Formats: sequence, C-alpha cells, structure tokens
Amino acid sequence: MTAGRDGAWVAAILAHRTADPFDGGTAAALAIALQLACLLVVAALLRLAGAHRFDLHRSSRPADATPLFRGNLIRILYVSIVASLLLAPAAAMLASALDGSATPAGGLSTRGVTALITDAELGRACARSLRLAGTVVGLALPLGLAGALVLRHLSRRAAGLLVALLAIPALTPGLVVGLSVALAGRELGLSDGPSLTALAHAAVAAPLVALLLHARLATLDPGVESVARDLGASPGRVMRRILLPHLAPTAVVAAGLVALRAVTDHDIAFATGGSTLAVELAARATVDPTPVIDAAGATIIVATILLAAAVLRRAPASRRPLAGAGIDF
Amino acid sequence: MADLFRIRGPHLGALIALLTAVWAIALVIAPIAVTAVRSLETVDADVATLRLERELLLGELANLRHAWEAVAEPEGRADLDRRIRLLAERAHRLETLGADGPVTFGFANFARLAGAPVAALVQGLATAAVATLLALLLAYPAACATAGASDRTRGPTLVALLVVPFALGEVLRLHAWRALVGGAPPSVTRSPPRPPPRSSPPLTPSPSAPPCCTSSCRPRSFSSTSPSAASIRERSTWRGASAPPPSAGICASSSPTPCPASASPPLSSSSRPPVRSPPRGS
Repeated sequence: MTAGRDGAWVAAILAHRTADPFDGGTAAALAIALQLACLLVVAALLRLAGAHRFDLHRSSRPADATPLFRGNLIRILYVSIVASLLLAPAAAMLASALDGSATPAGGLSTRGVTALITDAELGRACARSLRLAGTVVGLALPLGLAGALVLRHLSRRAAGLLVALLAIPALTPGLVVGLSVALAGRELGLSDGPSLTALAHAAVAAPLVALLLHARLATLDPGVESVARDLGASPGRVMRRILLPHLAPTAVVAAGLVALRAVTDHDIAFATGGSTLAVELAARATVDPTPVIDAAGATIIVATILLAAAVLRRAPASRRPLAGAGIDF
Repeated sequence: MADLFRIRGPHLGALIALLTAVWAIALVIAPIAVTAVRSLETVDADVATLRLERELLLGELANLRHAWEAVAEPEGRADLDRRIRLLAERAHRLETLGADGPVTFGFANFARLAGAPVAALVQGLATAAVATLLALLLAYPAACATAGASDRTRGPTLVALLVVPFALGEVLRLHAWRALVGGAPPSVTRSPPRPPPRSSPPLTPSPSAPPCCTSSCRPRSFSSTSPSAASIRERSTWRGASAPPPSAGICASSSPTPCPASASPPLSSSSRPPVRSPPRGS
C-alpha cells in the first residue's frame, strides 16, 4: 500500500515538468499512468491475498491479542523504542516551540507562540483549514454512510467492484487526486480554490468513512432491524432510532480522522490551489524556518490531544466506537 | 440492490443509491475521465509557451487591478491605469498571435513521460519498500501494546501511539525530523501542477475583488540546505526556464484568495516575491 502513496517520484516529475513549456497534458498523462498503476498494484495485492474469498458481510471480531514476546523486558523495551520513534517528531515540535536558546535571554521562551498568535496570515490560513475540515466532514459522512449501506445490500461480487472503484482516490497519491479533481473542476468552470480542495478531500475521505461505518454495521444484528420493521416501524424510524445511534460513535471517530487529515494534508490542497495551513507552513518551512512553525505544530498536537481526550471522556469503553474495524477502544 | 429498497423503503433507498451514484460519478469517474482525455491532448510547444506567457500576463494584470482598488488617490490610479492598459494590450496581442492554437490528440504526452522518471521511479519504489518494512516494524508492537492494554488505558495508548503521530501531517513531521536529525535532504524543486485553464479569464476589470496571490506564486523548494530566502529563490527554477523570475511579481491568475493589500506580516515578508506595489500618491 505504501507504494501507492509514495509521492516522491511524483514530485520529481512535477518538478521536471516545469522545465518544459507549460503544458498540463504531460501531468495528466502522469496522473492517468499512476492511477492505472495503483489500480493494477491493488488488484494484484487483492488477488494475492485471496480477496475474492473475502466476505464483506462477515462480522469481523478482533482476534485475541497474542503476546509479541514472552520476555516482558524485551517487549517493554521494543514498545518503548517504537513509541519514542513515533513520538519523536511531536516531542521535538513541542520542545522547539518553547526553546529560547536562540534568544538573548535563553531558557524557555514563548517567542514562537506569541508570533503565532499575532500572525494574521497564519490565522486566516488556519480558519480556511478549519472551514475545509468542516466541509470535508459534511461531504464525506453522508457519502460514506450511503456507500456503507449500499455495500451491505449488494452481492459479494458487486460489492467488491464498487469498493475497487470508490477506493481509487484513497489509494492514489494526493497530488494525483488533486490534479485530477482540479482538471475536472476546470471543465466545469470552477477555478482552483477551497471548493475544489474540499471535493478532492471528500473523494479521499469518503472511502475511509465508508470502510469504518461498514465494519461497524457488521456488528449490528440484522434481526434487530427486522423485528422493528415487523412491529410497525417505518424505514425512516428504523434508521433514526436503531441504525444511526448504533453508528454514531464510529461516525464521531471517522469525522475526527477525516478532519485531522484535511487539516494536516499538504499534497491535495497544494494540487488544487487551496491555501490551507499546511500549504502555508510548507511554503514557510523551506524558505524561512522560524519558531512560528514549531509553535503551530505544537498547537496542532496539543489541540489533537485535548480533542481526543474529550472524545474518550464522553465515550465509555463499553461503547467501543471502532469495534469491528479491528480497533477496539 | 433490491434488498436496499425493501429494507430501507423506496424514499430512503433511492436517496442512499443516489448519494452513492453521485459519489462514484462526480468524485471518482469524472476526474479520471477528464484526466484521461487531457492526457491525450497535446498543444504545439510554441503555442504552449505563448499560452504560458499570456497566463502570466493575466496574473500580473489581476495583481495590478487588486492594487488599483487599494489605491484611492487619482495620481496613483492614473499610473496604474497606464500599466493595466499596456498589459491588457500585450495579453490581447499574444492571444491574436495564436495562443489558442489547435489541439492534437495522441500519445505524445506519454512518450514524453517515458524517458524522464526512471531514476525517480526506482528511488520512489526503494523508498516505498523501506517505508513498508519500517511501518510493519513500528505498527506491530504498537498494535500489540494497544491490544494488550486494559480497558482504561487502551484509549490513551491508541491516542499516544496512533493519533498524535498522525496529527502532525507530513509537512510538520518532516520539519521536526529535519530539526532532530539535522540532515539536509536533496534539493527538489516542486512547482504546483497548474495547467492553463481552458477558458481564459476576461480581460475587462472586474468590479469584485480580483484574485490575489499570497501563496500560489511563491517559489516552492524542498531544500533546507540554506535558510536564506534569497539564495533559495535564486536556485529554484520558477515555472521553468521560459518563465520570468518571481521578482517580476507575476502570479497565476487562478489563485482564488482575496486578501487585503496591506496585510504583510513581518515574519513572512522575506519569503514572498515582492509584489510590485503602486506608488501611493503624494
């Protein structure tokens, strides 16, 4: 899967493209070639994994955790190394946001944070990012829910085909998705900007939402719904009183993940001409590394932790929002 | 599919099917189809250059109109009027020179693609292989730690191991790793994939706020070998050799972001190609 997401050589070719006279055709050719390649790789992987025998309708229960190592010490050591590798960037961000060694006073400094608060342009970019996240969630949740419900009622073969089609944007590099959506938008007379960025993000986010909701749906006993129908509940009432409450915790988590991705993603916004916070920060980080960037990163981390804590506090462990997706908390 | 309508009822079933169809057509099939058609279209190289020149002119024109609206004094406006008229004439001349030349269909774009990216492709695949291996090594114990945690600690473990690393995004994560390791990555110049729009923007001044280029015309470079903005600007090829340097204050006309002309925070002003600011009268 990582091969499909790796954008390094895409970036190299896009850079190469600029040495030619300005011509979108080559980039479009690249995008099509990449999408075909991704499709082939995914098809090959699915075939290797015997995906045609995959049962989308099977209720998937998380397997019992098998201990990684018997020796407790080695296990703890390994996990702590992994944790430190995963958390190192975040820790570095937090540390350098408050690092004042470059200032005359030394020690701790709130220089970066102050600069961040007073930076009007970053504030506007941040507002644009938040608006984008809201739009993407608003688009991806209904689409993902509809997709999950359709998948539940399709035959196995048709469901596989539909999944393959809908998952294409999620599996191609963000630059390519952004470029494709931008080209299609121009055909319709839409210019580059927030609306195209939101559409491209929705194309990537909706499959993720559908996947999570579909997995959650598998944990709902179909008998419950049919009993409600037999007792005279209308389809709308069954949806409102049984289906949506069952899906709600997963929808919250899916919305959080989608919003987080919309805020932090660079490639899609870059390709569709949306000037989000990530694009703004990337443009600054390469040319003019200032404490503002560290402060912005630290703010994002702290905000994420606070939001996650709020969600965890509201959802007791028994609700298990991600049960069925193999993740279970 | 019949199950969908039987269980959800005709109205809800139709709504659900419609939403899925809209998703598939508008967000997946249409972009791929348009990209496929565009990938077969080729314009003559000279025509492409003319188009680029015209696009850049139109971008500068939009800039000037934006400046014109910010200037209230008649003297400053008269000066800007002259410049705008000149640029509009030049853009118009380029158009009549055949900037909207014929489009030929064929596989020329793919042929051009074939030669260039082999080294980049190999490097990308190697990176992908290493990343996959590392991801397995890192994700397996993280998954074990999450699965083995008690009900009370599972949520926080999940947040710490999965959500926080995810929250940074690739830009900031790269920045943080660079600061940690201190290595200088190879310089890769990256320009926005921005083919010329098919329909040209109108040449007449628009009454609404014209597009402004706060971020789209900035030189973008992935190099961090030198923090000096000027040196990076020199090294980065901006929209190819045929394009004028960024100091000319030209930007893509399709940038959508309206912004007040006076907003220029001190921290970022050095990173921006200077936009030609009009004289503010006397």
